[in-house]
Amino acid sequence: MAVWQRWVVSALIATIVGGHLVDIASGLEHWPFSPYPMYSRAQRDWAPVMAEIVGIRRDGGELALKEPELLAPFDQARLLGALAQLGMRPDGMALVRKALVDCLARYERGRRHGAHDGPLLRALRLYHGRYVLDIAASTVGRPAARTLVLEVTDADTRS
Amino acid sequence: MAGVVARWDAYWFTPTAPTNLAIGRMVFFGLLFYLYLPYDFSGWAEVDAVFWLPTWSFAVLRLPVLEAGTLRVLQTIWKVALACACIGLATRASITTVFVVGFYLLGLPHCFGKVHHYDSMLIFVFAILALARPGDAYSVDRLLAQWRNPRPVAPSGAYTWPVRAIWVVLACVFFGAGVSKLRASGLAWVASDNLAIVLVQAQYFFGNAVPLTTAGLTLVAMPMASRILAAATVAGEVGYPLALVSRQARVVLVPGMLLMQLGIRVLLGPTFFPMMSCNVFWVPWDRVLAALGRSSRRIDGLC
Repeated sequence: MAVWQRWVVSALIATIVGGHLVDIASGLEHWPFSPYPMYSRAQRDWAPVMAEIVGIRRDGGELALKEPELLAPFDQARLLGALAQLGMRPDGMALVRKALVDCLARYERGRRHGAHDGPLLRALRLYHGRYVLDIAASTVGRPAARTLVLEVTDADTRS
Repeated sequence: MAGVVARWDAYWFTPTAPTNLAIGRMVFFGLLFYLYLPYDFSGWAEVDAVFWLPTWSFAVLRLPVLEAGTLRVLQTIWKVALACACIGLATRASITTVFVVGFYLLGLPHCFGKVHHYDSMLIFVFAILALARPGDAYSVDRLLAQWRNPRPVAPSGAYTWPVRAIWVVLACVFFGAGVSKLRASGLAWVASDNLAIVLVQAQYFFGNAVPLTTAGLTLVAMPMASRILAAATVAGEVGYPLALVSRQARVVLVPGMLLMQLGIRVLLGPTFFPMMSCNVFWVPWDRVLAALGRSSRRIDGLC
């Protein structure tokens, strides 16, 4: 290999390593560089509060929206992460409301186009649920306490 | 100083045959083609602008969300380029297309609220392979070139550095993940109920995928098992760069971390398959082929 080619390769390697080290040292994310912080915060609470998005059927029954096709193109982790970020802004609740209205409208579009076979929904709710975890996972779907954060209805999607 | 330069040169540019790089290319792009073929990026065009929280690179480059039709065209081009890169047809052009279009397509979902960490390293691998010559063997390009010039491909440092650079990318990822855990949580990440809680919580499905089994609960029921697993995880991640220079460390760390990622899929849910596909560049394909050749000769001898 020619000397100039070796320099190009060395510069590329230095960029990859240097970029990653900056993000690892700072803890900041400069995609595609990253400090890769997945699962880095130690969980200490056996009764954590978790956000949940729940659909309300025409008959008033609830449907936990967890399957990716119901939230597409989001997955649950990305959607809840986005809502948490929006909620931290000064006009947070208004932004979260707008985001949920968009989710309900997208759900309905997907339903009408056959992208999923979920039921017709009249509303979407964002809850904060406190789950008492146990090692048999016997409390799945049964929060010890639940707070309604926000509700949007199909009327909101038309306005 | 001369000694350092000589060692640097020896590590990156010692001439090798093109086999490992070329077969790695074939398997890597084949896996990615298989993984991404069903994925439709065009849905992101229909998400409300309220969700638009661009990553640093998308903000700096002022990359917008393109219309659904344009995204569909782009993803078709990208998937065709992945297939061409796999078979080694117009390899340099295909991989450059994979890199440029992939930067946009793979980056786009991360601009909607949360950066997942299963595919960002692919961008670096694409860049490395776009600058390398992975189509010099086991490719349609090679077949066509051989027709004009049947001389065998000579060993070169050009086939060594790309494989090792991909190792470095993986080392950065794992090392970063290990350091992030220690910085955010210290030893509590290991010496507390942390992993036990994470394993139980996964069954409540608040992540981006459902765990394949409930085996995580069995693990939690065993005293100390989750702490030992947590300690092994952090040690493997922080120690991963050793695999770059030590063959013994490589034998333990590379399969160990691959198993950890499989374990995450099985016990916790999230999938790291795109990242896992980069591991094909750790495989000494030349030795695998030699071993296969020996065993097929042995079978011939038995017949």
